[in-house]
Amino acid sequence: MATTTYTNYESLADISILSPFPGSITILFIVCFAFWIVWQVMQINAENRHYDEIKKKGHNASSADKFS
Amino acid sequence: MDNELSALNIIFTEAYYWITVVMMFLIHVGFCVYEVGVSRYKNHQHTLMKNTMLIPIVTITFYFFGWWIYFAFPNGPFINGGLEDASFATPIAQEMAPNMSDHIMGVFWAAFLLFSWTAASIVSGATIERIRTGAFLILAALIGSVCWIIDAAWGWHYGGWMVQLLGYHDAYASGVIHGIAGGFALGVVMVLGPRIGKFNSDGSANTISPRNPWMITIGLFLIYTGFWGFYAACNVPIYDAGSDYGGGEALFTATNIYLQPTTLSGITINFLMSLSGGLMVGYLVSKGDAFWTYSLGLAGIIGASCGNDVYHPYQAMIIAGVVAYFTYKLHFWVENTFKIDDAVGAIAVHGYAGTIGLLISGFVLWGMPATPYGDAVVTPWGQAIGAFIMFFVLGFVPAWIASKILDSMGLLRIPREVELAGLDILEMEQKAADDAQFNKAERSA
Repeated sequence: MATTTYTNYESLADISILSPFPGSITILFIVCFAFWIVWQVMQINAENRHYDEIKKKGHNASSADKFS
Repeated sequence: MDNELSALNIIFTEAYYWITVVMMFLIHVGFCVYEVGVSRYKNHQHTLMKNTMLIPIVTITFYFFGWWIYFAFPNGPFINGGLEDASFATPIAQEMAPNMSDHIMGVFWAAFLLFSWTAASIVSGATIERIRTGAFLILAALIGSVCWIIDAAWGWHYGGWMVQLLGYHDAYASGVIHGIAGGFALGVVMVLGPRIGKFNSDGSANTISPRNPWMITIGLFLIYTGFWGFYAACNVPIYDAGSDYGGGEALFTATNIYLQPTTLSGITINFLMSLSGGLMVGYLVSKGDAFWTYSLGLAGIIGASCGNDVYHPYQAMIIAGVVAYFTYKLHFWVENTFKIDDAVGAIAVHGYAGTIGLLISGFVLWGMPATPYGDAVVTPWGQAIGAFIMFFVLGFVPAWIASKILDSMGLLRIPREVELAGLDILEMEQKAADDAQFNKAERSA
């Protein structure tokens, strides 16, 4: 069993793609594309929660003065 | 690669682009350092992370669809022909992964990707301290993996319709990167609005001084350094132009992106002479201000870049100086007239400088062949139309529309309370609490 299309280097000229599971690239593309979309949504939600927390704590323009 | 000479040629080309990619990484390091130096203390981390996270987002989207656009869209499509077959550049193509039949695609893709980062990072600078990271990353994907690469297919490809029909010439991307990024940044900033306190109620502008001018200095030096890699990456290092179109006998030379002959040596002189012209005029016009002297040095290079493959070094220097002068004046005129808060001068240094440089190049290069593969020649009107397409059609308009959509969804600008308190206020609080707890533990130990 081999995950690559080659199991030795005796016929180097016949080797093209080096990656394992060469038949799964389309599925991997769909998974990675979906991960990007999900990541964007998660990032926006996390950012909204972050801003809500700042607003809830009642910070104002002078809040950062004591740290600078 | 069945003989040493062809192997040497291929591996040299592979290594050449690889080195340019590593050098261009410094542009992004420089942008990060520069932006943090400009931003106020209460926004440092947010500013840094916004610019850092464009790296993965633009990288994966450029892999998903950006690279395919470059090879599929040279004709528009439907301006000078249909969609080109670019199956080798799709995200499932075997050329886009390690394989023994191709050594160049990956490094060539990476070189273009680093240009994409730069385009997005230019927009990042103009929007600091008030844009949401989520919105910025969507806009970064739009310019980095769609808009700029369409303009590259149109005007930075030997078969691009702008090259073939308009005679557009932009060897080191005055408009292709900088013009479009400046226009895009302007479109976003017009919807985003200025930082709170930037303008008074009577319309006069306040100066929000950079937090750390020395970080800005280092940042711009790093950008200069990375720009060397950018120039080299815009060339094809070794090409048999003679056999291809130059009379039939083998004659190897470096070429620009249009496969027109140039030399790495010549563009190195022009890079330095245009930097010098920009710095000298920048120093005078800004009265020795470090921020603007450095920025206008960059503007000088950007302005001369479109013709730096063939300009005489004196021409490069003079054009850079003229571009630097008008860039500076335009920045403050636009700021005061239209109340545009261009926080780091990105719209000016990239957008105005690139556009002015293109307009000048139309006269200086008038009549020069725009391509070895057609009859088009450079003209003032061709360059002017090209500059308009870069800055406005592919830069400003998509950015303005996308920003309007994001704004209507409440996703573009941070809440007023957050802007006043600072984007990093919670992290600063947590750090203070951690420090207090540690100090207490240290004393009781």
